[in-house]
Amino acid sequence: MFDLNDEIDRWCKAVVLENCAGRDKLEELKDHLHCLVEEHQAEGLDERAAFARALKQMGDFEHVSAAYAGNTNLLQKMAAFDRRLTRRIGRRFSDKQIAAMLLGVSMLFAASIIAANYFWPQQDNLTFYIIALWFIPFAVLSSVPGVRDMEMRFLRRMGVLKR
Amino acid sequence: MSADHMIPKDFIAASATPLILSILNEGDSYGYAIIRRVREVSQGELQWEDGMLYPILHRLEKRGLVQSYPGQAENGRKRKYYRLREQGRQELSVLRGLWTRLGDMLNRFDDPQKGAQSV
Repeated sequence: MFDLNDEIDRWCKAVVLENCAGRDKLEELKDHLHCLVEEHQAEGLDERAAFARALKQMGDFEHVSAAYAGNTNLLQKMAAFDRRLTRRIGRRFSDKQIAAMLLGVSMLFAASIIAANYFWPQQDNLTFYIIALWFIPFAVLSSVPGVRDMEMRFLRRMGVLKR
Repeated sequence: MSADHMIPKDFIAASATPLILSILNEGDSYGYAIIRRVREVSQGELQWEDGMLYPILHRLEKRGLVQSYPGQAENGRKRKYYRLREQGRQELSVLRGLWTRLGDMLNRFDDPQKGAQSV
């Protein structure tokens, strides 16, 4: 059953929220799509055909998504990457397996905090904790088939690895 | 320009900012209306991907050239409007000056069509 509002909502969320670009940008994109659909319906098209034409006018999904991604800051890019990664892992593993992985990651993180305090007691370790919080799961999850490729692509896009 | 020669993508990209600022200089507007005005002014020659407008608007807002504010469409739907800020007006003058200078530079050369006809 074709639901125009659902379809518009889904497309716009895929562009805006998947890139963690901010909810405030979601409504204006939805408004624009609605306006295009109304324009085509006024020309005589039915809802589904009007939506299809409106999507074509919005442009290639990958281009538009990349343009939104280009405007995000480092934190938003990392969040978007984690979002895609989590969805991919969720498809491959059961909840118990994901829980076990997260427990392993937490134990590794705790061990790194203890080690840091033991070996560098005088140092400010806040930066280390933040880096460890992101990179330890990154390293652990790279053992998952398919995830490593995503991580390498991400690091190349960020300029950390050479293309 | 003949219909056989569509405006190339890099021209479209380069002209996006001055066009958007010019449209907002006419008055506050919103995304869909901006795209319609572009189509009207270019008589259909400029075919933008509508979705690409908003990242440009967001960048202009980040630069302080435009400012967005919430509003409502006639049917009650939430709508985001954009207005041109003073900094945006100054940037528009600079960009218009640059495009005029480019046009003047090109006009200093002979028209390649005239050269072809005389041969």
